[in-house]
Amino acid sequence: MSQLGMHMPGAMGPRKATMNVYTGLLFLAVVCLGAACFVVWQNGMKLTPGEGAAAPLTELQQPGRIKLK
Amino acid sequence: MHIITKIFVVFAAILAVLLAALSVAYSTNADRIVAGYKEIEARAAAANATASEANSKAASVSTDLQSRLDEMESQLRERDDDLADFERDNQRLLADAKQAEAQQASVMSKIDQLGATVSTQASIIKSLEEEVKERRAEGLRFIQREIELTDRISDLSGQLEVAIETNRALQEQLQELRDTYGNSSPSVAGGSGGGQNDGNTAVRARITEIRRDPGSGRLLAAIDAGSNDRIREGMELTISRRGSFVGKLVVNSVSLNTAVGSVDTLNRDVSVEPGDLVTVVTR
Repeated sequence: MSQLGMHMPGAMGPRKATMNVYTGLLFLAVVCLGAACFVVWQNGMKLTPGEGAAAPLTELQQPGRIKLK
Repeated sequence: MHIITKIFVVFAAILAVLLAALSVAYSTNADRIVAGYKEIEARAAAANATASEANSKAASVSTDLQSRLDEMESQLRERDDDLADFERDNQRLLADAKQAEAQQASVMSKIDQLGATVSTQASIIKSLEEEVKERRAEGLRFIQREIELTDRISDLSGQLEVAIETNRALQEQLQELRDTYGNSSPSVAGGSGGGQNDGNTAVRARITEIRRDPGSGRLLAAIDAGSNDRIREGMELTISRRGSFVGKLVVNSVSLNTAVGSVDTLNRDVSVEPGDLVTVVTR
């Protein structure tokens, strides 16, 4: 019941959530994923034929018509 | 779960999705670029092969062209030499032409001078011809006159000699008549048929033989008088027939009683015959 937010009379009050080791691991994962996204985006800007920050995601090279900046 | 943990979970999910999309796009681009690079490499290799073949062909063509260029250059040098020769010949011919023109002008002037000289000489020759004709006609008249006078002199000489002979014969007849009738005469007859008159002796003879000298072709005559009758070589005797002058006899050889001489009829159409009278007056 506690999972549904209901409290039984006489039951203990809800405990406050605290950061634990998983919170640190997730932080580290978020930092690494951000660094990886930045590096991939930076290299994708070199290979994409389009212009703009979203070009590494939206613009692809066409076969036989390779265009580099 | 703490709220920050939840936020991190959300960010991690979003970043994972974004990283996946970026990775897919990057991989696709890289693959296509690699494929394009390989294709370009193949094209470059083909182009290099074609270029090397073209280079080899170009090298051969270049060699041929170089050889042709060398040949052309040699021909060009030969043509240049020929051109120089032609130019020299042309200059020489032009000089010769100018010289020939000058000579032509000189020759033309000389021809004009010679033409004038020829015309002058022609007039002179014409006048000389006329003068020569006149002189020739005059000379012919003189010669004819001389011949006539010579003939006349010869006729008169013959007549004179005939008259002298006649006179001598009459003198002899007179002397004979005087001797017959006893009258003596101081004149004395000398030689055979000869007479004496004032130191002159007339000699009479007859032509005994006529023949032609085979060597000289002259007509020779023999007479019956010789050195006994005072006939000498080189003496000129008169030939007459019945009182007419026939010709002259120039004595060539003389014996005691005969003599031989060449007959000169003075270019007249007369003939000398045996028996014709030959007379001369000797001193």
